[in-house]
Amino acid sequence: MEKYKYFITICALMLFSVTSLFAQDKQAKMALTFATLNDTINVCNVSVTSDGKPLDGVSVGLFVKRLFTPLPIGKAVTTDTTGIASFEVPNDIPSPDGNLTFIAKVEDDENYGTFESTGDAKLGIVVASDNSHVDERSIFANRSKAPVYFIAASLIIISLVWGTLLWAVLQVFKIKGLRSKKK
Amino acid sequence: MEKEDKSDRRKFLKLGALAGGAVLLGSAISKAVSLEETKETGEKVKVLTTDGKVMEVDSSVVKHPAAKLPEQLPVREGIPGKKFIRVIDLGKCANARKCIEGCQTAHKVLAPVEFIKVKKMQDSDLTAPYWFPQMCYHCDNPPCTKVCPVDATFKRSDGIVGIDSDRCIGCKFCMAACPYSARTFNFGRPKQVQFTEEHKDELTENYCATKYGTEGTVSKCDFCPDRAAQGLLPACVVSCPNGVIYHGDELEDVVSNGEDTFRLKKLLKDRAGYRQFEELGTAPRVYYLPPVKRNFPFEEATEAHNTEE
Amino acid sequence: MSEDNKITDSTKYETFTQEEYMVMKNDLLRPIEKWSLIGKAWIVFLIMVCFAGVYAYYVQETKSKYVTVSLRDTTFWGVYISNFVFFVALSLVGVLMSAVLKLTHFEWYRPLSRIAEIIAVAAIMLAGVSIVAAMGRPDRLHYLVMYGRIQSPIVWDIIVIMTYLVTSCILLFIPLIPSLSTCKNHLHNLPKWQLKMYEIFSFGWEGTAEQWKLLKKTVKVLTVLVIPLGISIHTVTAWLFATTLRAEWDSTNFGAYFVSGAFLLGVAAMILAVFIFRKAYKLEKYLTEMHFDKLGQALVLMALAYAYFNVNEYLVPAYKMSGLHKHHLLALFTGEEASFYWSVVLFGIAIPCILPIFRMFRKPLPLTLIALGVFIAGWFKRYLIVIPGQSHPYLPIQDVPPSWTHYHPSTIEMTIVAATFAAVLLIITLFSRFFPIVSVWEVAEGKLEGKDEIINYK
Repeated sequence: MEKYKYFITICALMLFSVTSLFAQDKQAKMALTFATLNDTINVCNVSVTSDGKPLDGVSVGLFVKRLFTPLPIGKAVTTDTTGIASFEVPNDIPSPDGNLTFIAKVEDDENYGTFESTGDAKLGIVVASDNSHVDERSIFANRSKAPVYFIAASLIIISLVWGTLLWAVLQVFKIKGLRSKKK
Repeated sequence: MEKEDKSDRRKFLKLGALAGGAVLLGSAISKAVSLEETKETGEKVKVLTTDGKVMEVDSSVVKHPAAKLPEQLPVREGIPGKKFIRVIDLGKCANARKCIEGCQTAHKVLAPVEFIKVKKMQDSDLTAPYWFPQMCYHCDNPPCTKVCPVDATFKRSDGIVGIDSDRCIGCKFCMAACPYSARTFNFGRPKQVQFTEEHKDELTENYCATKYGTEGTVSKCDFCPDRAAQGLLPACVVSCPNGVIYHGDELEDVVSNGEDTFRLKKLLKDRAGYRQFEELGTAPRVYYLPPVKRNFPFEEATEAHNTEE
Repeated sequence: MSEDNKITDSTKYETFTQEEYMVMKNDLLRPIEKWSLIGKAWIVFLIMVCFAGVYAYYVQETKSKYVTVSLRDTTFWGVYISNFVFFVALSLVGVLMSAVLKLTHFEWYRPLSRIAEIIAVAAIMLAGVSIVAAMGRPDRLHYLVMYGRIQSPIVWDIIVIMTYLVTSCILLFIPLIPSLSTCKNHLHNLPKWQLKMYEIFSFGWEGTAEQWKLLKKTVKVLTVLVIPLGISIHTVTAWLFATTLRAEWDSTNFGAYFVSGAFLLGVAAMILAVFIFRKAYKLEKYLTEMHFDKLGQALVLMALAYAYFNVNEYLVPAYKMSGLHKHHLLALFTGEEASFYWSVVLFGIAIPCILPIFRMFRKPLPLTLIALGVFIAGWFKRYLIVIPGQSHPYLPIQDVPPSWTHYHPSTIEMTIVAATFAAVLLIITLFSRFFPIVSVWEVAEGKLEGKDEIINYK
């Protein structure tokens, strides 16, 4: 029985792949262009074309590439008759150098399946790690980053106390010296 | 699979013959996959499960050691340009304990040692109880690194509080200093020692190259920096079935639970994020979203999990 | 002592009654000359306990600590740490019984100062041993020097303990020089190496006016130095706890609380030591009932001071009963530690506050019994300070195995603790068998009280 099910599965799978291939033989492309309206609003236009013709009614999602998972920019937009989906890009997306990688994605379109395209633009605000937090001297920092007052205070106390101790030990030898002088 | 079923993209009616096929496909593929996995060799081997039980299983189930494990990144250096941060949505946690198990597998740690814990919290009799996932908060004013006598625990530039287990002298002062009891000491529990030895070359699920501290040293949650360097979310985040834990980079202003990705500041603002014991001044890098709009009703845990010594 | 310069050697050295001194010298040197059978058996016993401890430590370090030691993530600091705190407290006896009394001209300190110093030296040494026993990786001890972080209270503690140990050793040794000279001149039926040792360490002491002057000046400076040092070691030890954010240790009162407790413990330890030395070495003429009377009064004073700090430490937070302190305080007052806690309060604070006020309790035997109670309660007091609070962290301990919820020290741990006690007693015993435990010259000098003269004796 198990093996029979396995066979059915394989058949279904093959049939499925053939039909899906058949359904998605049309290829579509996306291009990302960026513009700034009225010097304030950044816009990313995604034009979807197939064989040079604009496609309308395709649902496009725009994302910004991040370390773990891409961040969606608003909701998915459907392309208009010119084949363009327009997204307003917030102007406060941080990036180490201002450069952002945008990913336009069409997922599971009935005709064109899933495809994506990327484009870079300098639309982000520069937020770089300055490491000042770990580089400055503090109680929780590394041994080489001890606060100056810590080092100074401990050195003063240690040298005073051990200086006295050293002096005391010298006195002991001086006691011995006093004997020799007499003899 | 479920998601595909729900989507209307295929419109299989168009293809007549395959009407409703997706449903069949979904179940069939999963069956086919499981069929392949249970191809038995007939040979039985003994394995130790993550909760420390010895089980006899077919040898085909046991994963074979990877040719070479990824090298651990230098533990004292932060990943450049990153400042890791975490947001935990208390409204979503149902005490599934998958984060605990996922973490234990990734770091090859056996129960009862937990880098991430889920605690039942109830502030007063009149307020509702809730589940509280808790791990090292990687504080910005870390009380633990203040007291370490040998620089064995330190604040890295990527916000992570790391432990160099080759440096740790095992004084446990950091454990005393941590107000969140986030740290654990490797007392050399025999089962753990055996497990560590036997599985040292194994590439576990969601493997993280940062080691569980050697015997006689302190360990804790390390935010899986080795995974982050590859753009992978920490083991607990990807193991959570309910998407409770959002992990991310403060400098990118983004946190993600693998499914959903949010702007960090907006999320904290909209959902009234807070930090545990703010008044202690430790400045944790882990934020909580209050347990409102629960996805699940609170269910009392009836089973004690860490009963074995 | 401005007249010192004018004093000529011949006139002043002979002012001491030599006869009186000879009797005194014989009494005080007797324990060195004759080791009784019980005395030897005692040393053998102590060595055996020490070896048991060494073996226990060997087992602890070679086997899994999860098995040999009862510590867990929940209670990670156990009896080793509380024992460490106890010994640091004990070492303050040197400060109190030698330095403070000396500088404030309480003349009855004279026969006690060396006993106090050797207890201090032995206790601080074993405090160090206790802390090493608590370490997870003792093989990395040298990292403290290689990678020491000045921001860490542990590093402060190590620095200050080392300093105190060295200071105490010097302070023990310098007043010993004239005594060693006495040993050299009067002890003969001893092994050659021992006589040679006296010869070397007496540093050519002849008791000249210059030598006396130098010795007294040095001792005085060190005596002044040792007081802030002693207070520092126990304050820094208190900071090991007080610099954490744990509710039960997060107290601004902690340094003073620890120091006052150490002074109380110091008086109690002194009473015990005086009682034992007095009986064992027949020193009734030097360690007199007067000493018990004075020590009894000191015990009341220190117990009152300690009671005051205890009220601050426990009753003030208990009045507020904040959520952070509640569980810990209730566990002590009425919970699982209650009988333990109240016994410590009774024997460690209440009894020494009240009973020695009455003269009859300041007699040697009753006072020694009271002091024994204080001493034992003192050890458990440190246990109560360090251990039970760890079971009540800010975030509740949930879903852990049974052994994680309550700490009971293991046999290995208690053997090592017993061995540290044996080692302290062994150091004190051996010292008293090789060196006069009561300073001959200081007592002799005391007999000339008010005459302000330099004594010379051989």
